[in-house]
Amino acid sequence: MRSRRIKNVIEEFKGNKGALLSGAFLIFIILISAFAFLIPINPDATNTSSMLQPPSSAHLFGTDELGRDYLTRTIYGGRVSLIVGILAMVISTSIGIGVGTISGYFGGKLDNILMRFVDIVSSIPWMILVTVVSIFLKPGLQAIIIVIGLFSWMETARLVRAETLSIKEREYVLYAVSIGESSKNIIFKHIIPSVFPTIIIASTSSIASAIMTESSLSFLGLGIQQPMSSWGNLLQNAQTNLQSAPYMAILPGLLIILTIYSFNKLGNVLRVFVEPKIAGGEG
Amino acid sequence: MAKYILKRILQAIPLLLIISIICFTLIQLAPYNAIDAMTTPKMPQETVELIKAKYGFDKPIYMQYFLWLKGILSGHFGYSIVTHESISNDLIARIPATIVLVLPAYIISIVISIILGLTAGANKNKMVDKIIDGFCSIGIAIPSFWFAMIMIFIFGYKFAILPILGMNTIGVDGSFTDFLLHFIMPCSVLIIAFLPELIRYVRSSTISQITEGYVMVQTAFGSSKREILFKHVSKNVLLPIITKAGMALPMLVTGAMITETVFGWPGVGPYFINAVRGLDYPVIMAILILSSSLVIIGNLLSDIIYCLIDPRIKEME
Amino acid sequence: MNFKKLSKVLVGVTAAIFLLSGCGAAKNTASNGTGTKAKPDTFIYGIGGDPGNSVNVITTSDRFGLMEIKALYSPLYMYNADKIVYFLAENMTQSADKLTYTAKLRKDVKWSDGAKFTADDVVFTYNEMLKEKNAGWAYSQLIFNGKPVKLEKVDDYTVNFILPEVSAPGIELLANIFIMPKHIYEGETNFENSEKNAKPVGTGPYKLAEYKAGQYVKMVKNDDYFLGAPKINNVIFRVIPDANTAKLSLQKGEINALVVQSSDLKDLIKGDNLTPYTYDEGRIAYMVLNSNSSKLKDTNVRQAIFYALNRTDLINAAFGSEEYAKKAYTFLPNENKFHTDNVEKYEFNQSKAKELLAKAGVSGLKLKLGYSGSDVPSQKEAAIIEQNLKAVGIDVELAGGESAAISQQMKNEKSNYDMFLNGYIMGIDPDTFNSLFISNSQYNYSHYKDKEIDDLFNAGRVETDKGKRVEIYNKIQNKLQGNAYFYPILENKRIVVMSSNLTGVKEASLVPVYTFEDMSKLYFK
Repeated sequence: MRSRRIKNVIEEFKGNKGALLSGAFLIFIILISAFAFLIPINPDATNTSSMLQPPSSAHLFGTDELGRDYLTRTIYGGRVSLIVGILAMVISTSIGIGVGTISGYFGGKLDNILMRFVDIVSSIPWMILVTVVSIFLKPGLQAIIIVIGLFSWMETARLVRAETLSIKEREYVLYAVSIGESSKNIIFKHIIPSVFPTIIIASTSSIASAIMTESSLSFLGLGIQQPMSSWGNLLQNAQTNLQSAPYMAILPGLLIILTIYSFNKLGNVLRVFVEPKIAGGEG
Repeated sequence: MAKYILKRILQAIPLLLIISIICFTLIQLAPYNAIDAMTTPKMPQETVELIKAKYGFDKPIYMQYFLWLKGILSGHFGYSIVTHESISNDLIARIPATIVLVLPAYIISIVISIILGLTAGANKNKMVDKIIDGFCSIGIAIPSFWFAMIMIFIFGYKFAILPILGMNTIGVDGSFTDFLLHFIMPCSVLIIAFLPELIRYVRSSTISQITEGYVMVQTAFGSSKREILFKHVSKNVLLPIITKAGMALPMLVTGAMITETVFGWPGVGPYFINAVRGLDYPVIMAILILSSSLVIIGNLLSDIIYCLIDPRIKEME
Repeated sequence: MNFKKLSKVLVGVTAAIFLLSGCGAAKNTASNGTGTKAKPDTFIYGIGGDPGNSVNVITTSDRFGLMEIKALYSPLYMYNADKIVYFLAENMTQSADKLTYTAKLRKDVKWSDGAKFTADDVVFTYNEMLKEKNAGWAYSQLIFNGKPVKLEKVDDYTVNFILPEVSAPGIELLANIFIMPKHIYEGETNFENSEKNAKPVGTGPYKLAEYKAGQYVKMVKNDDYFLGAPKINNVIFRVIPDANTAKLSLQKGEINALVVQSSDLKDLIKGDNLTPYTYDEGRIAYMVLNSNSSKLKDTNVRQAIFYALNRTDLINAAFGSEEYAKKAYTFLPNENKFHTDNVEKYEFNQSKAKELLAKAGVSGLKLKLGYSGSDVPSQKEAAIIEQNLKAVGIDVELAGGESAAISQQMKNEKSNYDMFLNGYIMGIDPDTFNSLFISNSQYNYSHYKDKEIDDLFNAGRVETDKGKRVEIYNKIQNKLQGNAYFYPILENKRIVVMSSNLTGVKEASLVPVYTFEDMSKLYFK
């Protein structure tokens, strides 16, 4: 069963040019971010005699308002945005799995309370929660990862709960219960692995939306702070210099679009992993 | 039916209370408060303390909360600490501005998404579908503030054909053309933000509807594809759309925060962001309660409409 | 429901919304606004914040509220760096024993509702400002060593201000207080939220016509203005919180004036339709070290930090060039009559900085710098400071935050921040700066208690001999720089860009905070 799924994924990749390109782009971005330290230019090195220079041989994408090399800052910014996206996803997915499986498996009053709690947190418009909490926590890398992670788990929780509800009626689970396996074991050994494919898909779109959220918050000045660069706060600076240096807005913006697009595309492809019948050429 | 509505409303009240308590606590826990945001070195310590006492900051937290709650229940949203304005007046001035921007944008988005979604779903995997779906994928990935920036640069600056600030030019009240010119850009930004998800939604609804029995029956009867699509499938697709629309009710208040800030549109968005920055808690709480209530009302409305429209559900009761 | 019907309904609803919003309520329209061929009769000034609907002379203290107050009300006189400009008062004289100031009031002033302006209004206003519970912004200025100034009405057009003790800056402390009408506000207990604030009755060059929350304040000229009716019929303060949007508005002629950063000038000054005006605000940007930080106890370390900083770099980064900001070496602005350059300047000297650090036996120092994250020049200065200090081996953690949060940290003696970046505008007389440095003031952000400085400030306040006063403040400036907790960086100018067809700017006079001292002098060419 598993190997057929993997085969489907590979076939999907082969047939879908878009997916291939997305995958390649993501690998490219991740590699560049990981090896950013190899770049000889210091992203924080200011140079007040060459502020806002257009692209040249010394600075491939010009310099920003403090004379720092823009390309280098964008690459480091990408690293920050990716880290935020991935870590926030890990946090929100973990919470989501936790809440979802417990709620779905144990049901009853616990389920009720947890779902009410999910309702409450979902009822508060997300923007409001995030902006209020980010004022409270000192703005920075840690704060934004925590904030985004803490407020994006609800959807995952609901998904996981729904899956858990159906999985717990499967025979092998009923069997495990009947032979007296502890709930903890059942959840970890049976439920979570079965829920896993759904999680994978949800996590790619989770990364994508975390990156978007971080960009919006940084753009509003509530996210990543100087001198650290992220794609969002680079765009905030770009807006101020839009007339004299319009190119500053283009690079980070394009990278955000491509990265989010690629992650979503990846999610679509992985969908095949989960639902082999769709790949079977129907519909 | 009426009993059901009543039950839901009663359930909602403790929810709102809890939300308000959580938010209030969060704000109070911040290491500084709104008054600190306003003091300058020219103010002596005594004046600062006096101002704080005036706003009740010297009282314990739960006291402050009860005072605030009492105010809300008697219909007073209170005064903004920063602008000293009555919050109700501020909101009455600002909410219509937001609605006038968000509502048309959303409605237009729904109409477009129904058309495109139906077309895409019906022609799954063909060229049309691929283009539309591609557009959605890219659309979801575009940050709305970036798109707004680019639009302002192109249309407001480079080609200078559209105004970029506010709802109308000063001194030109009541001119519809002027309003429309100001309206085009922020509305487009919002539409681009709303469309992709809506189209996707309609599309997947359509795809699942097309495999239903009645479509086959209609095809057997010889109805044209177009007829089937727009006369039959659309009705069933409309249901989940309405559900979604109901849940979008709070957007009438907080749905365009970033866009409003970038375009200087005098709606709730910039008002709220300023309040958050200045820790102006009466304003924050007021907007929070307002939008949370709208979320709950919206959900309720969706459910009710769903019940009313879908005869299958009625029959089940 | 039929889909076709539904879509028709939807389209109908959308159209209806459009129509309704467009037609709106036909409010009182001012005449045409922007950039038409005929001479414009409206001056539109873009401002970054909302003055609010409750401006009043007692509690309003924010920049934008004060601008509105300046247009609607008048003070007795304004005390500027170079001279006194009289408004409601014809002159101010000081008694021989220097304890009494006598104000002779103009007899030809009417309130905008027709009532006559008299000494009663002056006495009323100052007394309300003196009531502690009103939390007036000028309350502390009117208290001398714990005792309030006393007001005495001599006759309908003469008022005496009796100080409890001699005060050198006395005339400045009595200034810039706007007068409100007694017949409107008498008995009012809550100035801040009073309903009367919505319909102001004043003596200023303009009257309030309309206020739209978050959008604009519309004012119309006061034909009875005692200094002559304004030439421009309407003034609008347009609220534009986003600086980039404001800049674009200025370029498109949607507004006529805007305060900008020096970096915006090259985009704005193309062609000749916009003119920049730069003037001194007496604003000093500085860095202050926390004397309670264990890492900064050694004077050598503190001095090393100062020598490592490059003021030219900081000025270029934050303000573009020395045209818009001058180096500052003491706490007094360069133009101040008591300013002296005869102090330890800590001119940029990297090798000396490294030497001092070696002498102190310190290496691998890590310091935390707090500053307002939303203030663009501060952000840039902070980045430069980080680089400057890195070059001598000191690691700086940049901890920018909301201004209110940083403000809290600065006042907190137990704060774990080591350094702060900030700026101030105080007054003209050097005594108005005392709250920044004396021992127990909450605004003494270094928390360093120097009794000598306290004594010097106290002496300076009552010293009447000019020469001796200069000596006192020289000593203060020297001691402060010697203590090495306070590092003045620069003094930046304010830049206002206006439509080129706006004239009379010099007569209107550009001043700190209010921008225009008297808007009635402006007119379009």
